[in-house]
Amino acid sequence: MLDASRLEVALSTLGRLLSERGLCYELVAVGGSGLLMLGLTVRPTRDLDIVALVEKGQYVKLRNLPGPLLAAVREVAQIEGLAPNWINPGPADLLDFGLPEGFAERTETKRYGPLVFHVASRIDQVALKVYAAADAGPRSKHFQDLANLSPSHSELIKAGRWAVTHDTSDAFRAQLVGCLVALGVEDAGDRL
Amino acid sequence: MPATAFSASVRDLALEVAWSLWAELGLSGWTRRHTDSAVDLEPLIIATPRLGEWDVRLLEEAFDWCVLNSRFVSAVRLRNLLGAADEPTRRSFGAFAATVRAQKRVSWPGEGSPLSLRVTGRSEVPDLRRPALQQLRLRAILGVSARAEIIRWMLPEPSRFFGVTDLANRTAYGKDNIADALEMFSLAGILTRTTMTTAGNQKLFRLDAGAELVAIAGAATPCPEWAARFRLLLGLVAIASDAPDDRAARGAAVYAFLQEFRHDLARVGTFPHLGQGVEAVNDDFDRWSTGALRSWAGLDATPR
Repeated sequence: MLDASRLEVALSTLGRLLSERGLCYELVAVGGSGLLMLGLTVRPTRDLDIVALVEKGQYVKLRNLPGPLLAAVREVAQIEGLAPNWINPGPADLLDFGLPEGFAERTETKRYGPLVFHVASRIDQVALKVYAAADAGPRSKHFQDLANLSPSHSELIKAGRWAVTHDTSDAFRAQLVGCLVALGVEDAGDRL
Repeated sequence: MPATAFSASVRDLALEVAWSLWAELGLSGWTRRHTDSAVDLEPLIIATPRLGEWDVRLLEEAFDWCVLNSRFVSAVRLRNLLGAADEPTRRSFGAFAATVRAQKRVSWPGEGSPLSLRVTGRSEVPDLRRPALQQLRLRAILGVSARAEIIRWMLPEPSRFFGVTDLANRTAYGKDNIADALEMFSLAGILTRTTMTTAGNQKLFRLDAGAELVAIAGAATPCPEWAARFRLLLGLVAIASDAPDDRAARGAAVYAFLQEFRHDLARVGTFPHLGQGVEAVNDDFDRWSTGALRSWAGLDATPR
């Protein structure tokens, strides 16, 4: 598992490897590790979720990490004793329906030599976590992360409005309302 | 240990290994630390030109020995073992082989231009009564052949059954050659043949005339996996010399080395236990490398 300290060490090692090989990458990070990078949680996480690669200032969807980056990620996994896929593009499908408006401008930049992360801001993490928590339920790590971010009611409603653009089904809307009500937004059904 | 010091240490230990083995064969070395451990000639000959890049005297003395004693050397094994060698080793050996070919009519493999080495005349015919030279003693009796190599590997383990593939790997002769020699030995009553049905009717062979062979060839001497050891040794020399300066990149190179040489490590029966993190990986690997080389040089006990 990755806590903030191990994540920092692993990313530094990865940056050194890439530097040695003359490679540079810009990645967009979300999820639990993104929260760790911003100091918004202390919950250890299994991996670092990448939602996009940045090329010429544009977000590009990834099916897999670029080959040389993937090789370096696996090498760091061996050195630091991590899972081989400790960095992965698991949530890349989020790009299909779009990230919250203004996401890119709000990211925080973390640099490890030639490796640059654009980390989702707190408010965007709230949106992504609302979407994930509504889907995964109240016992999920996402719901826990969301609660730990202590979002305001208006932040939750705004996040919910973005989440329904990704899944317009009635079933998802019902789960979403349940999630927001559980976080104290009693009138979520009316405000979404 | 700083990278340059480690590199020098690895190189020195690698040369210690080679010198001690060559000393058993009769080269004028200061120390013989392999008196009770069987020398394997061809892996040593293949590795020597590469190591000779740092020790011209070793190269020159080994060349002199090879010219005088080429009748003991198996060109077939040289060819088969050379196929598993890395490119720098093949290149160095190619030039060395060309130099020997320029002096003696031998069919040693390898491409290259002859080196300017002189025949020193200091070499002698090796003393085949030395326990470490059981391989050459068996060759003197059975010929420079797969048969001599088979007996060399089977003699120390008379109760063990060996398969064709296993013996082909150990001896560096082809499977057909080994299978034929085993059948002939079996017909002559030297070996017992059995069939292991659980592994697809695999034929296995066990020494049946161990006492008689010991009477002729002398007591069995343990046979270290020198072919695998020398590949590892040269790999260690390479990683010590060429690994990146950055410790993280070097750590990655360490894991690449372990992956590349995993079969040889398994054959030799040693593997480094690496801790987590860049410094631990580097330090543990360096410690293991030094320990393994010291052990192979006869300076220490067997490494973990």
